[in-house]
Amino acid sequence: MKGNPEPIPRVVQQTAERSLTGLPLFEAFVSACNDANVELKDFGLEGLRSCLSIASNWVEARRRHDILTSMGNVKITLAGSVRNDFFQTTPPNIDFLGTIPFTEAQAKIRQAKILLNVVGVFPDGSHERIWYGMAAGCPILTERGRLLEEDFVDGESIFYWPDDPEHINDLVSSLLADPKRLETAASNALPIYSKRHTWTQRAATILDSMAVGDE
Amino acid sequence: MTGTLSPILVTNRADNYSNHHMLEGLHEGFKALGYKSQLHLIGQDGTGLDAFLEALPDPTSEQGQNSFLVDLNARMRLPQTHPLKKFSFITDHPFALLEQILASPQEQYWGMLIAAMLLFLTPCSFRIAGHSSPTAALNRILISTRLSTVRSTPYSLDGSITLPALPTYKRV
Repeated sequence: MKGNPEPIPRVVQQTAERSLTGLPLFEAFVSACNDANVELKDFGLEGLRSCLSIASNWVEARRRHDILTSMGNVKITLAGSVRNDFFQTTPPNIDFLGTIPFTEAQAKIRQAKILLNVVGVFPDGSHERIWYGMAAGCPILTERGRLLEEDFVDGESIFYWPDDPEHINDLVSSLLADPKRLETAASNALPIYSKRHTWTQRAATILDSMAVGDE
Repeated sequence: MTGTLSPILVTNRADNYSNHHMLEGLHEGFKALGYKSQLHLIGQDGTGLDAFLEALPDPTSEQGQNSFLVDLNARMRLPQTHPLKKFSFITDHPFALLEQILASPQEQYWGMLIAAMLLFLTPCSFRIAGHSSPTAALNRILISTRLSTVRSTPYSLDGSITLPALPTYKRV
């Protein structure tokens, strides 16, 4: 793709907007391309990567920003890298640590009252921080997704972000005010995690695949 | 293959990111299942690379036939590793890793985060043999764990994307 022909910015914007509503990124991209009568082959590899990167980064940052700024005075520890302009000014309720060593992040998770996970661009996937959190006995608040919903029930063994962002603050505040509810959810999640989601189970999945491939 | 599988895990050392800790977790998982697993963490200055290369078995030997590499995001692409079977755990959307994926040997296994990634790889000329439709693949192949597996054969591109009429998939 040379330059930015007229439909391309619109395709990127629509990809981002549709992905933000929960559509997987590439499905959103294909949908936007179809609406603009643009074919994938017109992008070339670098154009494809650029457009999807822009949309993906925007969706992830937007989702995280919206959630982080929806929680009033709830104290939040934020670890990891963010874009330079992610916060114009870091909100006073957020303790932004930047990038920290993995082992230190694990210690923070063990101390947390609840682990907040926001990815946004993999609506049917998960993230290892969810599993590390469960392993540490930390209650999890995360996005819905087919993988998680197969095993974990909202309010019983996990908590999912409410559909309406207006309800985020109420949910988090009510959870923090009810330590017993948090403890119960973490306790309910732990045996499910131990049975189905440890690295040992992942290793077994890989071994099965490699063995099948040689048949 | 006649013996027990032997995983050889390799990735870059990245203390501030979860990457090498993920492979440490898998390494411990393989060992817990009774497999002889090796973990090689390569420093930014190349520390550990020689030891990794020396540990690679002769691919024509029984040990080589039973060994397979595990890496993250198709980063290990040294020619010495190409004869060995490999499983690459893709931890990001493949659009961000196309260069690495397309530069990988043709025969290897991929672990994807979500089924929707197949919809991206298929137009990128990946042939995923077996199932008759993407929908069947979405329903049957993936999502049982975050670490889903699909066997694929990438083909080199000429800088353009081609759309096959109907992708096919194989359950692994």
